[in-house]
Amino acid sequence: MENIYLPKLAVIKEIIQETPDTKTVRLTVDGGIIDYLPGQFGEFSCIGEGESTFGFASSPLRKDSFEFSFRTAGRATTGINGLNVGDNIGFRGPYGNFFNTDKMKGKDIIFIGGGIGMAPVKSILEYCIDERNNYGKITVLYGAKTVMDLMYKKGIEEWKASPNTDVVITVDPGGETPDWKGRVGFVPTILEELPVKGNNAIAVVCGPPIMIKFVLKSLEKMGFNKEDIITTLENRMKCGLGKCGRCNIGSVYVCKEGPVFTAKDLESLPNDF
Amino acid sequence: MEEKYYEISSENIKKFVNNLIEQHNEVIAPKDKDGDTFYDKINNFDDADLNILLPKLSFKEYLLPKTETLFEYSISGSNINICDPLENIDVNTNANNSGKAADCGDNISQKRIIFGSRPCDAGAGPIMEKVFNWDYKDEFFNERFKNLYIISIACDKPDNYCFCTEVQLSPESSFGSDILLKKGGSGYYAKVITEKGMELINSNSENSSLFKEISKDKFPADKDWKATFDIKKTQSFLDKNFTSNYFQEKFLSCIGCGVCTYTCPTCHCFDIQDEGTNEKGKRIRNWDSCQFGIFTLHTSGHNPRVTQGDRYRQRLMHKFKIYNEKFNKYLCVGCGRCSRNCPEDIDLKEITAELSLMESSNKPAE
Repeated sequence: MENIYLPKLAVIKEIIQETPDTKTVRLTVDGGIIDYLPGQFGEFSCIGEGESTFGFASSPLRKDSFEFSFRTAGRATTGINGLNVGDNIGFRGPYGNFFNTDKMKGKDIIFIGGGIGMAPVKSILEYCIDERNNYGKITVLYGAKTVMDLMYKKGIEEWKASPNTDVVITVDPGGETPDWKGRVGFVPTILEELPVKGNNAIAVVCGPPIMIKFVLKSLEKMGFNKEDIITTLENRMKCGLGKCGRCNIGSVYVCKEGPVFTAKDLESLPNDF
Repeated sequence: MEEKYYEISSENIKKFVNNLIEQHNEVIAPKDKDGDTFYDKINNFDDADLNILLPKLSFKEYLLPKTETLFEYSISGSNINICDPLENIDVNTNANNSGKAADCGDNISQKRIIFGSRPCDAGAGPIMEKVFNWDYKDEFFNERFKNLYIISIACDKPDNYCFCTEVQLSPESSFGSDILLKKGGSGYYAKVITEKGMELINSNSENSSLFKEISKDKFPADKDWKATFDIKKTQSFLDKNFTSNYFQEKFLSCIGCGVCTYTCPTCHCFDIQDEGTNEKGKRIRNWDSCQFGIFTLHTSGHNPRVTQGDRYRQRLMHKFKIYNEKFNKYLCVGCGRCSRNCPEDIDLKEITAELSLMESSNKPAE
């Protein structure tokens, strides 16, 4: 009988200390990757400490390994934080729906990420960069609380090097250092200053709930249709399989019908997130 | 299968149950325990207390135990070994005689017979079964469900907390039972609904001789149970009034103890935790409750459901709207245990009736 709660043992290939309290872990399963798509998530665990839900942070077109990022906060992540290269991580997944990349083809795309919410954005962003010719102009807006909280330094350089791609990095007011050369301001504020128009364009957004709320308003002001604003939601999850009963927003289970929703989808959901 | 009907005397039902016990079956029945009645293992028919309306708790834990092992692990150095409790269980064989037991985990293939279940409790099995097989199949639940045989006895006097008729069941419903007994004649009339029910009756020649087959029209007809309110209207109130102040005001007295979810035969939400040492242990799932603040608390500190009103609303939404939209039934069997056991006298029957009435009178949402 199949045990849907049984993790595979993935092997840690690399650990990147992104900020003092966040890391990105690069993994393989049976020497390769599992089949996943940008936007999907998995259940990652330190065996003996517990399981946590994370979105994939890598492009599935890169077949050598897959990544997730985490902040050390509770028991499971403290356990994962204590692991080294070569150690095992329990993995279940992939679960949930994914970004509709067909709908994005030929269009300009703005990727907006806040804090560790940049992780799933990085997955779809790097997927688009891997097939750069399929998409129009790419703009990346990534915000963190402080300069110290900026993740993906290697990634940022790679995004900047991609043709026809603008990368804007901002930190919250007060989070800058004297030698900070990026922008200072909240993500929605900076967003409205960017030369981005909503026609023939798609916006991909992930971050803290409060940021998403204001970014959606800004994007509508900038002329984006609700169908063209795509966000990925996080809710506390345990099973990832539509059974444990906690991730629902109204009648919609984020683990099964999500985590990727358009702003139009969100409109029909009650304010339960 | 086509339903079959029988007559059986009081004396013979006793023989039947005692035979089942003698055949080494685990028979569970309402049984007195320190002044309260619980579903518990009996060693003789006379241990069963069939006169009370409802045991304090349902038999949910035989389908979804309070704690269930999902797998066990052992770690030596950098080597992790995982033992899957489902590994040796063959889908195609009858689990109780499939031979090889799992090397770890709980015994999920234990055959159990519930004797004297109430129709409400019997209904909970197939209702939960939908959740555990919605896309991904939860074989822990399925294996336990497959091995649970349910003989129900119809109720004749529901109490004021009962509302099975309102949630589309009835005190005489056979939904979820393998055999339904109704008092009458020289003892009981029996309706056999499933192959599992037939299996019990035909488990040996003596047992089958205790049951005298009758025609369908000899089986007593259901009384004309009438719902006191329309649950569809409750659902339609919930559809439209997510932001209503009703929820915030009504549940101000709720202390969030979770007893409603704990005693509910259909509440199935669970938590997953690891338990053990650095060397060995297990991953388990435990009953959880939507009435606890931590249930939905994000790591960031954000919580989608902040107040007890938000949380009880979720319970109402899940039972009377969300589940219904997916599976066209209600996630409630109307047993009333949540109300009987609530320390704050929050009465689910009263609430669902009130919402139904508000919907009928078109009272605008506040």
